[in-house]
Amino acid sequence: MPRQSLLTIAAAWACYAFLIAPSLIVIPMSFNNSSELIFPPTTFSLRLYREFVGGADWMSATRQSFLVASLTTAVSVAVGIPAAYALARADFPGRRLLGMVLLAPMLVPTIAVALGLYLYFSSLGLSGSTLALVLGHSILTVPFVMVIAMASLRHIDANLEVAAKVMGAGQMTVFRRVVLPLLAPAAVAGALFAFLISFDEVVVAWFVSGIGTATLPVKMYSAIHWEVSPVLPVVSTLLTGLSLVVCTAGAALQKKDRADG
Amino acid sequence: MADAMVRLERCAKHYGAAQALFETDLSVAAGEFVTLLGPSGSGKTTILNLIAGTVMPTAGRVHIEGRDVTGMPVEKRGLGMVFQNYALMPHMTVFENVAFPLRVRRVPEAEIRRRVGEVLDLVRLPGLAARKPRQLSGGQQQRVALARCIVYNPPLILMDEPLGALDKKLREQMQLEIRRLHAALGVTMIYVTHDQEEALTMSDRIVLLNHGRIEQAGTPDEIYFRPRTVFAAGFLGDSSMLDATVSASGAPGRVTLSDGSALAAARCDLPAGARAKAILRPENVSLLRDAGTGHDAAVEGRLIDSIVLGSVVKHHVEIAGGTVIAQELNRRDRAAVRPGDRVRVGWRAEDLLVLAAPD
Ligand SMILES: Nc1ncnc2c1ncn2[C@@H]1O[C@H](COP(=O)(O)OP(=O)(O)O)[C@@H](O)[C@H]1O
Ligand SMILES: [Mg+2]
Repeated sequence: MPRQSLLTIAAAWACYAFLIAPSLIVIPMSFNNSSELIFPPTTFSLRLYREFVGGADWMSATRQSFLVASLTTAVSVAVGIPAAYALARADFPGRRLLGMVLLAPMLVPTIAVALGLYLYFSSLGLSGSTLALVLGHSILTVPFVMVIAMASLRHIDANLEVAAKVMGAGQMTVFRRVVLPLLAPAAVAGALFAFLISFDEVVVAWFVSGIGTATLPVKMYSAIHWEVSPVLPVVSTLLTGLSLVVCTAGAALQKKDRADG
Repeated sequence: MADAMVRLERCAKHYGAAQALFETDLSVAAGEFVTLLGPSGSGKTTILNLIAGTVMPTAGRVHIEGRDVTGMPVEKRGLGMVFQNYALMPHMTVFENVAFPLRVRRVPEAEIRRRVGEVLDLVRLPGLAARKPRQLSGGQQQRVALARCIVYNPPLILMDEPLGALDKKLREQMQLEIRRLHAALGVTMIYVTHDQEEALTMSDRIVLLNHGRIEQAGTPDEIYFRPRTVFAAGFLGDSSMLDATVSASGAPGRVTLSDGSALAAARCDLPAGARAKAILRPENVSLLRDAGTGHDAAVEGRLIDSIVLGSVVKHHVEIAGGTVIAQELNRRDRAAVRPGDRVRVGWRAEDLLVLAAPD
């Protein structure tokens, strides 16, 4: 290998290490046997994990996060996949505009979305509800599902749908028997993304959640503010682990999909 | 025509300013095998799509089996269609692909199994039902596409360059297979191709298209032997075209080449003085080696080249007005001629076709 590219690779790894180090630092800290945040840890134990699992408010925030992320995933797939299909295939007036509106949350700063949602949900009396959280997160995740599905649709031969129609299949049958099976890998990838985004999201959740509906990241954020709980590295480690598992699963699925053709 | 399977009535299609099909009338009888032939962009696919219903005409009506189906959605028309890239469902097995139109029609499971089996036998593809399309060769995929199309007995099957992706040998084999299926099923087929040989081999009738218009329609013999335009003469078979001027109209007629030599034609429908093309098929032109008889014309020219194509040789001979190709059988004992030699070529007056020169 030429020297030039060796240097480039080394530089890339150095950058990568620098970026990933903060996430990794919390892992050893989470195994510390102390009620204070210390780095590097002096003793190792699972004490903080026990504290996390035993803490009723930590557990309820975890359950809430799973609930919100699951519902958000369901909503964003149910909305994003048909929307992507309509935008990619159908030709109706206002198509481009609708596409821009649906994708806009990717471009608008999250804090602006969050503030808007806060005001909006307050005026509807929904502020602080789980419904508000799910809707708020879905606005952020639908564009991701759509972008993934539209990329996949570009590789699906539109003639397949024409052929199915010629053979007598109505629009619903075409979608169900031809488009959906071919879009399934993209739908799964989109679902994983939506789940992760919702599970990690803090800005919108901070604005629209309430006392009983705080998600895990919201709870962490307030914990940093008020108590600097030693359990924080545990939660961070678990979140990182979850992301890793979900991403690996997603990558494996995509690989399998490509192998299947 | 009362028993027309398909009738296009003054159908036209344009995309914005681009005219894909000018106002066209076309009628296809039940049981006919009609080929839409023409160069790329001539409107073949447009006509097929108008019939299938995947494209709406900008003007005119489409009738199928006597019914006006102009506004009817694709899935209600009950037609069959075979695509160039086959459009097989990649996520379904061969069996499921062929069963698809039957499942859409809610045919009972036992009958589906029976009919799919039968039709896979009919296209000579047994034993592959469990494979996925991508595990099949191009020819096999083509057969699955055919099977999927005939399994629900549509009265009309549309095919858009279905053999375009196959190599020559397989293509010729599939041409015969499709003809066999056409005869066996008594179905009407409308077949699109840009390959004139394929059209001549397969069709009851050829509809020749050029720039979104029907140039000529007729049996393969009619179009081959009696092309009405220079385009038709040039598109089907080899033609030598000589620049000429009509000197006598009627039957017999006469044309004059640029060097003043006169050529007799069995008939000439153009007025005297008109600019024309004098057209000769290579198989009707002989290289005259002696004072040959049986020729109405014998013209001297210079041999440019002789091209051996296996069983035949084509001699390109330059004469006044252009190049004529004379074809002869490739025999071991044929006398050699060299490029540059002065040679004579001859033909019969009835084989000289006089058509209006295009502007
Ligand atoms: N969707 C379309 N938009 C614009 N122009 C089109 C479209 N489809 C076909 N055309 C044009 O119409 C003409 C005829 O096309 P087509 O029927 O596909 O020709 P063929 O099948 O004979 O190659 C071509 O010039 C083509 O560019
Ligand atoms: Mg075409």
